[in-house]
Amino acid sequence: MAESATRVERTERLLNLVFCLLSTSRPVSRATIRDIIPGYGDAPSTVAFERMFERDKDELRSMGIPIETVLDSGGDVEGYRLAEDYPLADLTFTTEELGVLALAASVWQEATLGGPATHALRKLEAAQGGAVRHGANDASIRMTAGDAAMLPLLAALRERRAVNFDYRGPDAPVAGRRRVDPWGVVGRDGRWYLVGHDHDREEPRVFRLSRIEGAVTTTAQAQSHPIPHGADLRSMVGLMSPDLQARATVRVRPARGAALRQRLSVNPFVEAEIEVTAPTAPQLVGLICSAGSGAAVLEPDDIRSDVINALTAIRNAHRDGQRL
Amino acid sequence: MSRTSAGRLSRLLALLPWLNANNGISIEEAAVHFGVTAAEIEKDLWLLILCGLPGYGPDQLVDIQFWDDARIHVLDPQGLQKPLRLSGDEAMSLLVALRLLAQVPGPHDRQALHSATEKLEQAVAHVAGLDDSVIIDSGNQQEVVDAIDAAVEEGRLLEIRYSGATRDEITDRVVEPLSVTTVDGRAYLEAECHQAGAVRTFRVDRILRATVGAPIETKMVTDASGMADGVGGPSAVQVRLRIERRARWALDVHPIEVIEDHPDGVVVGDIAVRDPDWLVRLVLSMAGSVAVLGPAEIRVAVMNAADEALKAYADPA
Repeated sequence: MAESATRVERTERLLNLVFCLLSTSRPVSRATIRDIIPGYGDAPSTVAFERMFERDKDELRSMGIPIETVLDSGGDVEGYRLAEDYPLADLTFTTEELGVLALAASVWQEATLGGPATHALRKLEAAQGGAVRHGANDASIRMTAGDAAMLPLLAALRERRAVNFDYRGPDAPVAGRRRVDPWGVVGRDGRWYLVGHDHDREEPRVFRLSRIEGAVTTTAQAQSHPIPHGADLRSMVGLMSPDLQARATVRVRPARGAALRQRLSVNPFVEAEIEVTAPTAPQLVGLICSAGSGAAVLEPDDIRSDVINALTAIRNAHRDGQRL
Repeated sequence: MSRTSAGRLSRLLALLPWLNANNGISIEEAAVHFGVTAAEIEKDLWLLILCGLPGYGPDQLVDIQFWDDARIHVLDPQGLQKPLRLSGDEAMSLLVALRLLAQVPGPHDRQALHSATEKLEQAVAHVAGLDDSVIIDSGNQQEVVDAIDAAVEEGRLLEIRYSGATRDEITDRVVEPLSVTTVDGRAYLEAECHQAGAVRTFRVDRILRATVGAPIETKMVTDASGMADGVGGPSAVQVRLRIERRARWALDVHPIEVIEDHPDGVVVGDIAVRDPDWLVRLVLSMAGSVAVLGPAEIRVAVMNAADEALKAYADPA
């Protein structure tokens, strides 16, 4: 009970701070805030007040309330005020649009993005009348985004900051520290990937969010780096390493080699000689092997012999009775 | 601040402008809208009327009347008549979800989706990095999504060119769409397949082409059947795999239960396989870094597939 009483007090203090900042365009000094907002007077010392106020300010900022710090001519903090564009822009949504927004807010399976999406929806609905929602949730469209690294990475992307985290790659026995300039987060097949510039490897890398261990921390200063476009980020996740291109000419049998054929470009029901590419030679070899008897490499010779060697190794490893 | 109280503060900040815009709404309606109980809304209202501007006299406090007729009337919102702008997380989470909706089939109103997305983008212009920094890549082709929607809505057949997920085969099929779902961002079409004579689930990203066909006249009686991937399901067979260190990434991608994790990085694990053809393709694609330990018939199937593939190289090209 005591704990819940304290929490109500804090909610009340934060609400009053918001109303106070809403009421004026002039900066309000810390001393004034301490004097006039109920709750801050309880702080036993200036240090305790400062700590309390910093936490409250961070909390409100993290909820999207744009509290600006105003400096005086000497560079000291004069006070705090809300950014001019603090209210939601004037918007009117139709009933159909509100229905789609409610559906969008319901797709996230976890609270990580589901919470913020619901809060966003409430704000948009609060901007207009006649907006009572009636069971807009439709369970037929679901997306997952529960990785703990998600929100810190989104914040770093907005603020263009480099991030540090411990990452355990699929072939690494233990996690290693990484420093990355984030370029984007890509969701594909229910998994989330971070694409960015890896400072330790000095090249672009793709990280799976679920393999990030512990906290993601951001560096103090924003990094400036050229960021590839969305389409390039998408293909980087597909290819993992876009710089290493391996290619081969492959003959595919009718209606076979589905994974090798370029979409829609050739009639898949006839035999064809096609170009197949992959980021690395081993990946290309695996791709061609997966088509089995549906595909045969014509050239180059090194890929051709790698495929033959791989298939021979597989055949030998699976000879009956001969267990590995 | 705990998650619950942050959630409450966020609700309070949206509640007041919402009540202001919906004058005379009942406590019950407000509770339904915000997904909480009527008692919680009442507690929120009692808290709001204690708050306001410094001085905290009668004219400075938020004034809400809600005790006469269980209807809520905001008399003075003390500056909070409009909701606060969206935070970065709020803007991103809603916009990315809208982008997912645009890429998957379903009954949602496309025109409203488009206009709502445009309006939201205007409203969140203050948030940096919204355009390209969070991307949903469903892999679905827009023409395919449109054709599925049209066929479902008009009750027509759908002609699809499908690149099978479980075997290396491209087929043309005529199907009667039954339902569409999106699970973990991946869209599935459940349909009565005329070629198979049964219900099949198709991954929308593997449909290479789709054309709306003739109206469906009679519904066939169907048996439900399996899933689009080769794993899981009631008739699945446990297959034991040996995975070399360089292929450990496969543990991320496939539902493999690790049985032994050796110090040299080799893993022995089990996978429940519904379609052996799918597993054979998987093992071939690993180019020797994954081997089947058992059962024996799957080992033989892998050996035969490799043998077949090698014939292309033995014969003169």
